[in-house]
Amino acid sequence: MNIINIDNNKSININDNVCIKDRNNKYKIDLLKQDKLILIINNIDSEMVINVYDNFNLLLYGNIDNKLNIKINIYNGSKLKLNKITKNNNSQENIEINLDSNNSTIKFNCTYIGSLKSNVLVNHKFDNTTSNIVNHAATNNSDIIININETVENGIKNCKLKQYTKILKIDNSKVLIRPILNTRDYRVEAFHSSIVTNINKDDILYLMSRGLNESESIKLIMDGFIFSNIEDAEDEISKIKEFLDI
Amino acid sequence: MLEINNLNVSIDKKIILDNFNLKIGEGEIHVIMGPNGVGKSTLARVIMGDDTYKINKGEINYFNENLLKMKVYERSRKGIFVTYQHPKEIEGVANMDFLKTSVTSITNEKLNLFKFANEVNALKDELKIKNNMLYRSINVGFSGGEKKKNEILQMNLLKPKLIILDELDSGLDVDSLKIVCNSINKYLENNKNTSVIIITHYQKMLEEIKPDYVHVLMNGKIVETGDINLANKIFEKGFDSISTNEMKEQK
Ligand SMILES: Nc1ncnc2c1ncn2[C@@H]1O[C@H](COP(=O)(O)OP(=O)(O)O)[C@@H](O)[C@H]1O
Ligand SMILES: [Mg+2]
Repeated sequence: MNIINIDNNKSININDNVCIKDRNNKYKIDLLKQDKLILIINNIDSEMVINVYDNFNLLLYGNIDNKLNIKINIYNGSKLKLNKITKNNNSQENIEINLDSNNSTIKFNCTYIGSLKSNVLVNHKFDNTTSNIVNHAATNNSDIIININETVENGIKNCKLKQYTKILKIDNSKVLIRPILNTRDYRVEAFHSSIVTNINKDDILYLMSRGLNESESIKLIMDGFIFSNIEDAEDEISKIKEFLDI
Repeated sequence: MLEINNLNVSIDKKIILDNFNLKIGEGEIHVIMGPNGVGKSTLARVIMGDDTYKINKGEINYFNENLLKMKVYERSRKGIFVTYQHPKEIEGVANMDFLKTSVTSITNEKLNLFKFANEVNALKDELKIKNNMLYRSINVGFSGGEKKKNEILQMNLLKPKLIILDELDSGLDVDSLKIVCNSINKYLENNKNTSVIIITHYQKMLEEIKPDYVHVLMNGKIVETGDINLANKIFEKGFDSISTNEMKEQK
């Protein structure tokens, strides 16, 4: 897979399938032909706009200490498979996804580590569009708010919406999940589920009985949970762990 | 190596073990039998360090150290290994990653990956463990028998000095029980000072691993100690034959 460190690519960067431009402090990334791509988005301050014109497998990761703003437009009935893993430090993420043509599809495995506030916005603007969002967030004593807002615009039919959010925490972190589905049309299939769980004490005990101390046990369980949300990019996990220092 | 004196343990204010005494020497194999609910697993868990059980009285010495003062992982690092009756399933944590972390914690030195991989492979064959079980999440989707094999895989890798097998035979078919017991026997052959406590209801297990002592646990304490003949008597006549003896004594 191609790996591009966005921060080092202030200038125009093109290959046949991908075109990245930095204009007025705004990244414009066009995914033109079916391919896979890894973008390292370490503390990029400027907004990113990603236009998807063909089926694509995209992996984004990096540390976010302040803000992350991403807007994704999916055209041509394309299917975007998106994995995003960010390590957050009291940061704010805004991710907007527009399904901009008939049959446009997104499968979004979205993973957060640390404290953050996140807004995920999905707009179904055409018929037969599909969104499937899986959020995993893990916190070890820090706060998390996740808002997911999905809208089917007026008169748009036969859309499929699915969202699943799970937060794993230990005792006293504050977490909040706000899932919202807006639709005025009955020809829609919608599903959502939100789960917040504490790490199971018996699981920790089991690992401790095999020699791991408490923090090692918690880390192993949290990492396992976090990285189980990566799909079709499993080979990259060790690199991501190293980069994010997990 | 292990000495339990006058132990009193309760859970939710209910006393499970009372005036419990047991002494185990290096390299000895002890069996603990008793009806369901008498506190066999409680004993195993207390030795492991599970703090849901409350120790009201008594002491446990392990190689002349106060075991009750040690954390669960310290006990494990000092060689105590308790198999779980129902091993935990942990989603997302690859079995192999867990085994590596576990061995590293216990040996406290950098893992020689090549040696480790060879050792795991040899054990995998010995225990007839499917290759993919090493890479799947810990115990997730494993059958009852596979979970128990995974416990014995861990046992072999962690090189314990005291092994407690809590109903290892439950959930194992005859062939798997043989495989697992052969592996334990082989380990004991190579580690002659390692001691074992076997908790079981079944004769089959004791045909595979020959015990030195058999104890019967009832009313919170060991009421009778003998050799394999005591176990055979129980297999034949049940625990009633024991309880009547004890009641006679009490009269
Ligand atoms: N976690 C627990 N919470 C409440 N009661 C328990 C718990 N564990 C064990 N007990 C009770 O303690 C007693 C002994 O249980 P256990 O040690 O599991 O017995 P055994 O292994 O001999 O069948 C039983 O009466 C059981 O119901
Ligand atoms: Mg039991």
